[in-house]
Amino acid sequence: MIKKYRQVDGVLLGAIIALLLIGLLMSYSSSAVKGYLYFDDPYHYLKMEVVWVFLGLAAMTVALLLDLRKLYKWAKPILYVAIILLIIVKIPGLGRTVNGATRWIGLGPLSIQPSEVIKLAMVLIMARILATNPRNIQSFHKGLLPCLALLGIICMLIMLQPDLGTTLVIAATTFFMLIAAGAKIWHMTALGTAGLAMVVGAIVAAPYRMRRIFAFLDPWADPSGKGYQSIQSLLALGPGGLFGLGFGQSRQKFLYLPENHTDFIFAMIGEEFGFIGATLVVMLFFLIIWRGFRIAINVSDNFLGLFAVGLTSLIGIQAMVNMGVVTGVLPVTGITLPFLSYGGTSLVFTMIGVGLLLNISRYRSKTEEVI
Amino acid sequence: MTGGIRKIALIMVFSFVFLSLGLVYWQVVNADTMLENPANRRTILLEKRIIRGGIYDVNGVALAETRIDGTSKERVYPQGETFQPLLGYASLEYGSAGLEAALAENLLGLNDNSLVREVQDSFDLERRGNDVILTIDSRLQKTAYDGLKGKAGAVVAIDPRNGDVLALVSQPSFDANTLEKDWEAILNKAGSPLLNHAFSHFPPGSIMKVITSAALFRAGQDMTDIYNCEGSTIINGQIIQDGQAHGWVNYDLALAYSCNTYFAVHGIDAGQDIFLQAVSGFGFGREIPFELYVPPSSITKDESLPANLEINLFAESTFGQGQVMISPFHIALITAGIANKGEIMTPHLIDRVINTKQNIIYESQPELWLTALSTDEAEKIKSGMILAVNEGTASPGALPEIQVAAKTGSAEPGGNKTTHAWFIAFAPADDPQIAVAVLVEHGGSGGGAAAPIAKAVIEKALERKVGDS
Repeated sequence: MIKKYRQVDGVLLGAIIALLLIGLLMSYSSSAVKGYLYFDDPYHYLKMEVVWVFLGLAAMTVALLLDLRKLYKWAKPILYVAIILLIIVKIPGLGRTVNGATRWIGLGPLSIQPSEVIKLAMVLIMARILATNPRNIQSFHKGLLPCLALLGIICMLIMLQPDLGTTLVIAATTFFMLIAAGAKIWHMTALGTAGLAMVVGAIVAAPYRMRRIFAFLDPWADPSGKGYQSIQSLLALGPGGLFGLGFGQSRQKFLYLPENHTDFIFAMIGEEFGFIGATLVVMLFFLIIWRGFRIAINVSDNFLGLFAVGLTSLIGIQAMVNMGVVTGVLPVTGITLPFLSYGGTSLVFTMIGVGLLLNISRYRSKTEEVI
Repeated sequence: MTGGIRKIALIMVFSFVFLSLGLVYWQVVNADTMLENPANRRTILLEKRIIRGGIYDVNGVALAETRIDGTSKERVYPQGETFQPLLGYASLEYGSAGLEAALAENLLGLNDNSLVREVQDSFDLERRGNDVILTIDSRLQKTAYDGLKGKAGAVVAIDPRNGDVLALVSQPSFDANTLEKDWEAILNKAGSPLLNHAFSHFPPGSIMKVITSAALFRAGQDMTDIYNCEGSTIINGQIIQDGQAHGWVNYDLALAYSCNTYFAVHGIDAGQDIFLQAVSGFGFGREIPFELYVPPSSITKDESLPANLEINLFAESTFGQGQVMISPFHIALITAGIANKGEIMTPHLIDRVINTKQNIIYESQPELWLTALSTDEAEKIKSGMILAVNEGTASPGALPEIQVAAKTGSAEPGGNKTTHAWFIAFAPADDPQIAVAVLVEHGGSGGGAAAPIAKAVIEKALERKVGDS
């Protein structure tokens, strides 16, 4: 593997810091009412979030300094650990159930979401598999099938929780990595169709997903029930208008919009800072994706390139799905907005992801190698 | 690998554009409709934290109050059914309606948008909303309610000088105190108790003639010209009938006897342009500026006024049949306009809003809405309405010492059902202080079913004025 050569990507780091700051600002504004009601302290969630941001920055720094060659070697053990965590979460007494889904493992005061671990582990192992035998990917049996089998197992484990949002993010990220690695487009199209059929199957299997989908198609049909979250989210965006109501002026945060500081933080941004503010956030994510793909294209090592594609796709897809839910173009899936949503493990693992991306940005690029 | 990355970058760009379109749609194109949306549960949910202000009549009689007993709050309506569905309800289970819904911003104290209040809102969990004082006089309301009780219909009384709504009764009604318990029964009760009949559409029948009069005058119709009513006439192959032949009548007599053929023949002579201009001047096809929503009155099945009226439909419209639709509330306003020398004042239900510190934060002011008639035209119509009381169809509305001006209507609802009984009146004729419109659905004749109710309300209103001075 090639040597480290350059400074970290400053634009990427800047965009990350900007999003973190917006996240802190919004985590206060959006959770002040909840904090006051439940903890008698409007700053409760802000204090927690500050701690998490520092933990996240520390995790990012560690990831930034990590020797990526070791990570290449550890890809398999890390995957096994992630899979074990996914199984542990289903063991009664160890997993914590919130809103009908068992997604957390309690560790004293902390809790870990195995689905966050598996996201990174999956990107890592896929980058390794695809980089080891680059030509295999052209073949369906040797290249695609093993990757898909692995993806299938992982997705099944996540769906046990159940967590449709994370499953979709992992599946889409894997597909992006396969395309980047050079998989044939007609293979991918066929698989995409099959995947869609499976998603439809998963939805039909669990009635609550069915209801969520219907709510998404016409939230106004059941405004106080199934369509409630979607509508309350749109009721936040609408009054925000072009310039927003101003910082701290959100009306929807008065407990009308559930999960307003986590999954629906983007609606809060749209309400308080308007179309301008929301667009700024979209642009920052776009910036991250652009720099991520640039890093992937520039790095001369296949494994690092694919790893960068995976890490970037994780953030990009998750951001897109979350913002799509808030703006009503996608059904409610219950995943967080990277950097902005209040939430400990989610933030820490996102920060590890971008730390790794920044780490890759320091490696020598192809063009420089030529010179 | 670069080619593959380019492909997925393209997918990403496409998705971002799609997402941005979603944002543009909700935040720029559709922004305004969101706040008005009935699914916006914000105000209803605020009920849990804010003590709703009270609603009082003009003399301070409590119409709706929130009583606190320990930790539980209860919304009570001391007047029972008398003020429903005008007051409406605010229920966590069934939403809100009527004034409780329309005045929510005031009653919950949300219309003060200062930064200080925003901060208070965030942390002050037990806050009291504002009190609203209505222009309604509960004694008049009670009189109107007692008169209409057991029937279906509406009574609206307005002070023609300033647009203050003095009584607004709709029947059948319900008791909001037991709303949640009786919800199913209320929903299934005949006559739609939740619907405010004062704001619903009915054919006006002969009441329309006071409006058509304006068109006649503007076309140069002389009040003293006489016309021979033979009991029926044929216009464009359609027979226009009167109950009886009225013989030779001038304008006053035609209005007093409610002669259909007179108004149809002279209305057609005046022409549809002048007629449509006149009805527009009275507020047809317009939304009434008011605290509650009143659907615009219409001449045809279209909400807006037509450019052209088919001649037979036009003839029927002149005496309030055909497709003409109007609300009792609008008819009361038109009556008030005639009483107020042709000027229709903007109607008000809110007299003032008082915050918890007893400061007046809103007070309604008399405001002109429409100049429907010239003073001269208003005087002419009034003279016809006086004759209607003294010698014509409106005589059941006469009071012993006070000159009342009135007009009856018996509107055919279609389908061979009993006619809707209408009665509009104002008094005293030389110095009008109250204008009343009464509708008794399927009540028969205006003079028989509706006039006694209007008479009782006027009597009550003027007796109070005498007592006050």
